Amino acid sequence: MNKGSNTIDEKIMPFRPKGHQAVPRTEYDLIRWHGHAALITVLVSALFGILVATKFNFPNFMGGHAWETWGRLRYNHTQGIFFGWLGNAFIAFCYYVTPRLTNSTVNSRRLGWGLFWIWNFMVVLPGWVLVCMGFSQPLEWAEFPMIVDVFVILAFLLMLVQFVKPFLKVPAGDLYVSGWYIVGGLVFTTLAYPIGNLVPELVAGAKGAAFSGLWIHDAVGLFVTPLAVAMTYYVIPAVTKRPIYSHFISMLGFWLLFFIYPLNGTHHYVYSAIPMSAQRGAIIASAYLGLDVILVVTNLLLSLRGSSGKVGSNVALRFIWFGVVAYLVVSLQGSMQAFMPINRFIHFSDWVIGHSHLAMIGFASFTAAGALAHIWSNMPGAKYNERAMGWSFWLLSIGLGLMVIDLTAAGLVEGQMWVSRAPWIDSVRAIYPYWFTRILAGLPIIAGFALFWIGLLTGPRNPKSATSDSMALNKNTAARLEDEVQHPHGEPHAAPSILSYAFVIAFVAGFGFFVLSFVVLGILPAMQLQAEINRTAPHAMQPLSASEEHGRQIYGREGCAYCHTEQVRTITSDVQRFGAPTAAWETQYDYPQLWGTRRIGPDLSRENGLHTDDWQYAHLYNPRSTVPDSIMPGYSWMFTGSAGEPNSDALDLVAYVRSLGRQRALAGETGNQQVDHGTAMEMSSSYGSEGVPDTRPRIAAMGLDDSAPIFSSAQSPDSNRLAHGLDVYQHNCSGCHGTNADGQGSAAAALRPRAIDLHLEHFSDAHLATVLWDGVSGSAMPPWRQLEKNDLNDVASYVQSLESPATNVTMQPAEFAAAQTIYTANCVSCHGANGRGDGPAAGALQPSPVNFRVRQPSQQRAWTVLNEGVSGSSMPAWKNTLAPDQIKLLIPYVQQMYGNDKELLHP
Amino acid sequence: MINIIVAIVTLIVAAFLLLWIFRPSFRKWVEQPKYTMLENDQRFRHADNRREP
Repeated sequence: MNKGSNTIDEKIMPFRPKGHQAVPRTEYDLIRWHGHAALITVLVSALFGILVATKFNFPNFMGGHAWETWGRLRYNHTQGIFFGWLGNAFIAFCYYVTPRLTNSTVNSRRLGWGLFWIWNFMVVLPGWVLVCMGFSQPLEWAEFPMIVDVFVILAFLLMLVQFVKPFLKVPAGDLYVSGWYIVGGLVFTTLAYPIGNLVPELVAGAKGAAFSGLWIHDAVGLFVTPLAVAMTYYVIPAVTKRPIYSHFISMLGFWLLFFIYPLNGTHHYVYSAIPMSAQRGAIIASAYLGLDVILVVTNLLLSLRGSSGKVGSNVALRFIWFGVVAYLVVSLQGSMQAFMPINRFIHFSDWVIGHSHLAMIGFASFTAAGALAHIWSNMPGAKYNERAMGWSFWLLSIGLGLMVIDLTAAGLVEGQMWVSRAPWIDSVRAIYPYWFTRILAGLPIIAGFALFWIGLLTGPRNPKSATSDSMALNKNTAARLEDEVQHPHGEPHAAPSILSYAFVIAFVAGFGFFVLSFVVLGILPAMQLQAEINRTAPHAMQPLSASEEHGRQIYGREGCAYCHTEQVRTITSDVQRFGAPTAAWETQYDYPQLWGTRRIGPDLSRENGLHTDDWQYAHLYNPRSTVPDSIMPGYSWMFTGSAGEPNSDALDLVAYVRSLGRQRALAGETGNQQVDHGTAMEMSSSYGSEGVPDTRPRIAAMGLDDSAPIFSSAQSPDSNRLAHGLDVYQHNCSGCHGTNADGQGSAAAALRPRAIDLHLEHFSDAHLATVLWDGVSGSAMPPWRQLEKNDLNDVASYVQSLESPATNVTMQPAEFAAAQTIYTANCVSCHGANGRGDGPAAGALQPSPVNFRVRQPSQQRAWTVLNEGVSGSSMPAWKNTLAPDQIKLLIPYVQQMYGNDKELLHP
Repeated sequence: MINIIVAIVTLIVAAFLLLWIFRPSFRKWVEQPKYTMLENDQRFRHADNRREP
C-alpha cells in the first residue's frame, strides 16, 4: 500500500473488530480451482479468438479440416469466454463473498466440488470438443449443443443451492447490494438459459428470433452484468476501506437493471420482421438502461472519492475502476446503437464487434480480473505477484483500446460502403487492414491474460499478519460503525415490513422480471407475428426437401449465419442490394431461425437464382477461385478431391443455399407490400417496384440489353486505363477467366459452362456491355452493375484489348450455300436463321444461344466448340454428327455473320 | 405496453426517492448494509490474517 501518496490514510485509525469471534469458513480451495480454471479457459478462448481473427486476413490458415474451420472456432471463442472465463471467475467470487455477505458458509463443500467438475468437465471442455466435432446450435451465446445445455441448467440449479440459499437467512437491513445482484442474476439466468437455448428450436423463424434476442441480451445483461456489478460494489469499498457512496442509489440501479435490461433484447433485430411495437419497446428500454447505468457508475465513481491514489497503487482497484468506466462507455454506446438512425448504419458491422469486446473485456473481464486480484491478494497463503498484475493491466488496456478503436472505425467504413452501390467485396477489401490490426491487438490481450495468471501463481505468499493499512478503516466510517452497526453483534434495525427480506424481492426480481420480459418481448410479438403470417403467407408453401433440410443443419453447424445474414431489413440499402425485405411468413418453418446478427459476406436470403450450382461448388471448395478477394474459409473437406466432386454435405449445403428466397420468388412477392411496420415509408421513395437487386443476373434476349450503358470503346485506350482495367479484372474476373484471361482460372475446371478464353472471341461494344451489365443467366458470369462506371469502362477496354480482332470473312458462293445448308439443318433451332440466337428453342435455354451478330469466335474457338460442344450449355458436340469438312465450312459461315445487318447473308 | 412499463418504473423510482427524502429512518435503514458489509469484510480479513496460511 502506498501510504505516502494517500493523505486519507494519514487520518485513518486502526479498526478493531469487536472481538475475534469465529467467522464462517471460506472455501478457498474452490476459489483457487475456479480461479485457475478461469485463467486457463480464458487463455484457450483468447487463442480461439486469435485464430478466428487471423483467418480474416489469412483464410487458408489452418484450413482443410472440419474441426478448425472459422465457424466452429468462433463458437468456441465466445462460449469459452462466457462459461470458462467469466463463469469460473464469477463462481470464485461467489465463494469469496457469500460468507462475507451472509455470515454463513456456502451450502456444501462437496456440492462445490461437484459444481466445479460439472462446470468445467461437463460444460466447458465437452462443449468445446463437441462444437469442434460439429455438434452445436447456431444461436448466439447458445452455441454449445443441447446435451451440454442440460448440464448448464443443472449447474445453475446447484449455484442456486450453493450461493442463493445462504442469502435466504439474511435480513434486508444487512443484505448488501452485491448480494442482491448475485441472487437476482443467478435466479434470472437459471430461468432465461433454457428459454434462450430451447425455445428457438421449438418456435420457428421470426417468432423464434424474438426469443433469441431475449437471450442474447439476457446472457450479457442478466448474468454477466449483475455478477460483474456485484464485484465492483464489493471490491471498491473493500480496498478503499470506505463504504460506497450510496446504498440507496445502488438499490435503484439494481431494480432498474432487472426491470429494464430484459426488455432490451429485440434491439438486436431493429428493422426486422419482428413487430414494430416490440422493436420500439426495446429501443426505449435501451435508452432507459443508459440512464440506469449513469446512475450506477456515478455511485461507483463517487465511492472512490478521496481514494484516487489507490486506483493507481492497488492493481485490483485499477482493474475495477477500468471496468466501471468501460461499463459506462459501453452501455451508453449500446443505448445509442439501438436508435434507428444509428442502428441502420452500424448494425451487422465490425462496430458491433468492437462494442461486444468493450463489454466482455473492458467491462466484464477487467472487473472479473479486479475481483480475482483482490481475492488473491487477501487469500491466506496465496501467491500474488503484483508486478505481473500491473503489467497485465497495461497489456490488456493497450490491446483492448487498440481493438475497440480499430473495430469501431472498421464498422464506420463498412456502414458507409454498405449504403453505397459499391460491390460487396469492396467492403471486405477495405477492412483488410483493420482486421490485421485486430490480430495485432489480440496479442497483448492474450499476453495480458497470461501475465495475469502468472500473477496468481508467482510472487510472495500473503503475509500472516496484517499491516496497519490493510486493517484500517476511514475514521468517519469507523466512527459510524461504532455508533450504528448493531448487527450481527446487536439488535437488527427495524425495517418497513414490505422490505423485511430483501432476498425475497431479489427473488421476485429474478423471477417476476423474467416473466415480464418473456411475455412482452417473446409471447406478445410471437402472437402478432402468427397473426401476420396467417394474413400474408401464401396458401401453400413448399417445405425444404430432406437434402435442403440437412444442408440447413450444415449451414448452422459451420457458423455460416455468423457471416451471412438471412434477413433483409426494411431499409433502402438492404433492399437495393439484396432484394425484398424478409417477411415473417418466409421463415415460418425455420427451426431455429438463422437470421444472424453480423455481415461479413453478403446476405443470402435472396440467393435463389443468383448463382449456378457449379459456381456454388467452386465457391464452397475454394472461395478465392470465384471471388479472388474473398476471405471465406474453404470447405474442401466437403469434396473428394476437387470442386467438381462434392460429397453429400456439399450437395445438401448448396441445395439449401439455393433454396433461400425460393418461397418469396414462387409467391411472386417482389415489392415491399409485405412490410407493414411503419418503416416501409423509409423505402417508398427510393425502392424500385421490381425489387430486383443489382447482383441478380438478367436474361438479355439475343445477348443485347438496351438498358445497358455502352462502355467506351477501346479504339485507343491509354495505358493508364488499361492498367486500371487490368487491376479491376484481376480483383473481380481472374478467379474464373484466369490471370492471363485464358479461361484457366482456379474455378474454371468446376464451372459449367467454363469461363471463356477472352483471347479467342470478339464482342461488339453492345454485347460486352450487356454481359457486364446483366451477367449471363445460366452461367457463373454475374452482373457487374455495382462496379463504378470508370471501372466498367476500363475493364471493358482491357477485355477488348485482349480479344482477337474481328475477322472480315468472305466465302465462295458454293461454300456459302453448302454451309448454309448445314447450318439450317443443325443450328437454326437454337441460333436462329440469322444467327441472332433467337431460334425457336432459344427461349427455353440457359445460357442463351450465342448471337453471332454481336460475338465472333476465332477459328480456333469455333473449331473447339463445334467439335466438343460446351459443357453446361445446350451446345452439343458435333464431331460425331458432322464430318470435319462440314465443321470447317461452318466456321467461316458463323464468323461472317458478325456485324452483318442484312437479313439474308450473301457474299 | 412499453409506455405502461416506463410509467411504472418512473413511478416506482419517484416513490422511493420521496421515501428516501422524507423518511430519515428509511434512509438510515437503506444505507445500513454498506457499513455491515465493510465490518464483515474486516472481520474475515482479520480472521484470515490470524490463520496460518
